[in-house]
Amino acid sequence: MAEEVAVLAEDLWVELGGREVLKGVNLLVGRGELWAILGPNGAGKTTFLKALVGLIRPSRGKVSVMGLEPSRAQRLGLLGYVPQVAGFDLDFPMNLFEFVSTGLFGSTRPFGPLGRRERTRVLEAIERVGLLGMEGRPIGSLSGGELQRATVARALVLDPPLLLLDEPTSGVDVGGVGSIYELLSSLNVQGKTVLMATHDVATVMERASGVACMEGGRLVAHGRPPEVAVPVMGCLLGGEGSLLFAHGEIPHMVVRRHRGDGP
Amino acid sequence: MSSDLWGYAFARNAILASTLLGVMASTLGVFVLLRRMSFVGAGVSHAAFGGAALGYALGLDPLLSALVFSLTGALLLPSARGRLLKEDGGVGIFFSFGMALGLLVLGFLRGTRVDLFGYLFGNVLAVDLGDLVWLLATASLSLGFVLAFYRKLLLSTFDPDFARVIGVRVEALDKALLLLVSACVVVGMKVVGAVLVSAMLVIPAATARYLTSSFSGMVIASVVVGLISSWAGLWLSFELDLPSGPAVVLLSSLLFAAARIYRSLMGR
Repeated sequence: MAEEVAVLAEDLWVELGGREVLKGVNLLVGRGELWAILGPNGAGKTTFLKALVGLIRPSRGKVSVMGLEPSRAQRLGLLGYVPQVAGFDLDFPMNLFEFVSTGLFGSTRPFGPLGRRERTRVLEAIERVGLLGMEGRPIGSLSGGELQRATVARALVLDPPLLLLDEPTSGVDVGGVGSIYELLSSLNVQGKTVLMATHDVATVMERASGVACMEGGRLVAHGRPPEVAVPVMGCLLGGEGSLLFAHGEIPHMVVRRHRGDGP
Repeated sequence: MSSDLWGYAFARNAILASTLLGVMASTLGVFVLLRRMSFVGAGVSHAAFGGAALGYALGLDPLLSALVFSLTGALLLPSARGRLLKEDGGVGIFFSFGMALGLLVLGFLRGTRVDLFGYLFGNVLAVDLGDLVWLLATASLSLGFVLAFYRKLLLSTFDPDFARVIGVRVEALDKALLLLVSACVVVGMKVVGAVLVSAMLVIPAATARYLTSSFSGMVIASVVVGLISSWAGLWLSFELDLPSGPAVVLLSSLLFAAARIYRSLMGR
């Protein structure tokens, strides 16, 4: 059982600045799955991911990643983290190659040029996300989609079996969003477990093998997309749940009755 | 620089002191600038003057008392930060307190204030062997630290959360960097003075930022700019009988302006 579990959160509570941000979250993500965590802003999605990568210590409960405590999983190269790119200083003097190579900085020599094997790893990661040929470009000159891909490449440079991504399509234009999901789906097909926080309801309902929705620090719905469509919509609507109807093939929200083949 | 100057101990000391400070400050300065800590350098230098004045009044080694005063302040600085007060507010208080203390002590001391003015405005020609030992020790420690943690420092400057995730001890590095910047400022006071020493941290790095788009390139360019301004400023001060600290800083500012113009002309 344990070897089939990629992410396990059990009764996870997190307190920040005297406020409970996560309230008893339970979630199990199997290896090789692609899961999305949905929820309105401030629901606790980023905090949950930060607890999973060991950036935030739970006040109660426990988390394990690939069967290990997060920092140990990271040390063993089992976990790749893709933070939100919104906080990056895009004027920082760094090109794409240097940016991706920072994914190796926990294990490389303290200074000096990278070894041939390390350079190969970096170039392979850049190639996997489709940015080969752009290595010398300053990060500030990359588009939102390219920067997001570069951040995925940085997480891939140690070839971890699990990727945790925080809003991988934020700041990406509409055309780029599809290609980011294509990339994540293809990585999932190649065997990576993917768990991401996102707002792209329609896309993840179509592509993800599992969906969870958070509201006010609680996980209020989780499961296979077709099975949890209605509770997920209710979670995203918050207090509008009483006005929710669903019908037809594609899950959608109805806040007023309209013509269709359902209620 | 005129070779016959090397024959004089005071000139030799001045050249060595400028070189050590130039390399150390311009290397640390890259991190100071990119972490937006420029105000910390200015704050520490003014506080250090208070420490030096206090030591002078108590009959202690002013450099040592300035060092203790500044390092203690730098260590306490994060604890002043809170929800209602950001780091720049804490630095502003520390800065003003140190300067006020120094000026108060200056007011009480009559007749023997020349040495203290040396710390305020700097006098590279007054650098002695003891000062050189302090500079050499601090520069070795600083450069050794940067080399030993170069990649981790880079990453914790750019993306501290990611650095933490991959096991970098970001808080320990931050603290060590802050202590070394404080030490650099204190030992550099004798060379260019408390008022100008923070410029040695910021201007070469800022100049380098306009000359290169890679991090390692920025470190190298910063050191080159730091050394050119230190040596050329010193040479100008010898040749034209100018105060050395302002000569170094003004030359460094001119190099910054040239780099800024060059960048604009290149259309970047």
